[in-house]
Amino acid sequence: MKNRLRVAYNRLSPLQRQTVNRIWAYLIVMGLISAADHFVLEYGDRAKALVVVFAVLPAIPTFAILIVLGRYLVRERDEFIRMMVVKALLWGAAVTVAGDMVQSALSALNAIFWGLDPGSLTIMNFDLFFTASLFSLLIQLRRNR
Amino acid sequence: MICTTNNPAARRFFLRFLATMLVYAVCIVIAVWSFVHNHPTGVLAYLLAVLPALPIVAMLALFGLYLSEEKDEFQRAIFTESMLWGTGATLAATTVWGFLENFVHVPHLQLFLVFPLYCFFWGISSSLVQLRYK
Repeated sequence: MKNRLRVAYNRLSPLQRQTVNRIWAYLIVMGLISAADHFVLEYGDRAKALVVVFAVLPAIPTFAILIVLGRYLVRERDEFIRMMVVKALLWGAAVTVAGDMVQSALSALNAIFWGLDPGSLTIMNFDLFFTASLFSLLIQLRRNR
Repeated sequence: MICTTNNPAARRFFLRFLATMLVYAVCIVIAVWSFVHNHPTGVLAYLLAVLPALPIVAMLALFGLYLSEEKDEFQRAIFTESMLWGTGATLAATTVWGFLENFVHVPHLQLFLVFPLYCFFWGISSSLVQLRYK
């Protein structure tokens, strides 16, 4: 598995490799910020200004990842690959929005959904978008192999 | 107006989008009416909950269809860029609001509002991106 991942990584063009590396870096930053958020807001000082600052912080890597993807799309010369990435992003958005609609209707039914509180479900939008886009890209790559 | 444009792909996209919006409105009315008056349970309730999500998925499929039909690469780039900004703004806004909900107990953001929010941000970013290239 590790070998296959390495082979797949080595097959990427320099631009793709740079994009993947940056996305990983921002994901790590996002994980660290989220962990810091929970720690500070759960156990630390909960002054209103601090809460707003810590709520805004995780949005920065979210934006950064989408800017990295946008820059990649601008610089990618292969139109076919560009189209696949755009399609994957569209699928990601579709799954996220559709998932939200279903969850919203289920919550109207008072159905308990995964036992998560509403705020956590809202935060999970990014995770859902990212996972769905990744899966969509992998499916397209497999289909066009 | 996009409906009076000479670009056939854009015109087709606009008409399809309007038709899907109409279907979406009908689905919402059916789902809400059924939940209020018939109180469905079990599989039917789940099916009714999924019903309004289908036209939304169709709308996003229309975006993809437009991108594959649009011959003008510049228009395609503008569309993709505004879509990305719209997605980014929506995800950022929901992430911030989610944290605020958890820790400051601001009012709960109903998740069905995420799609209108996405359309709102997409509209704004589309205008801004077009303005930049004017």
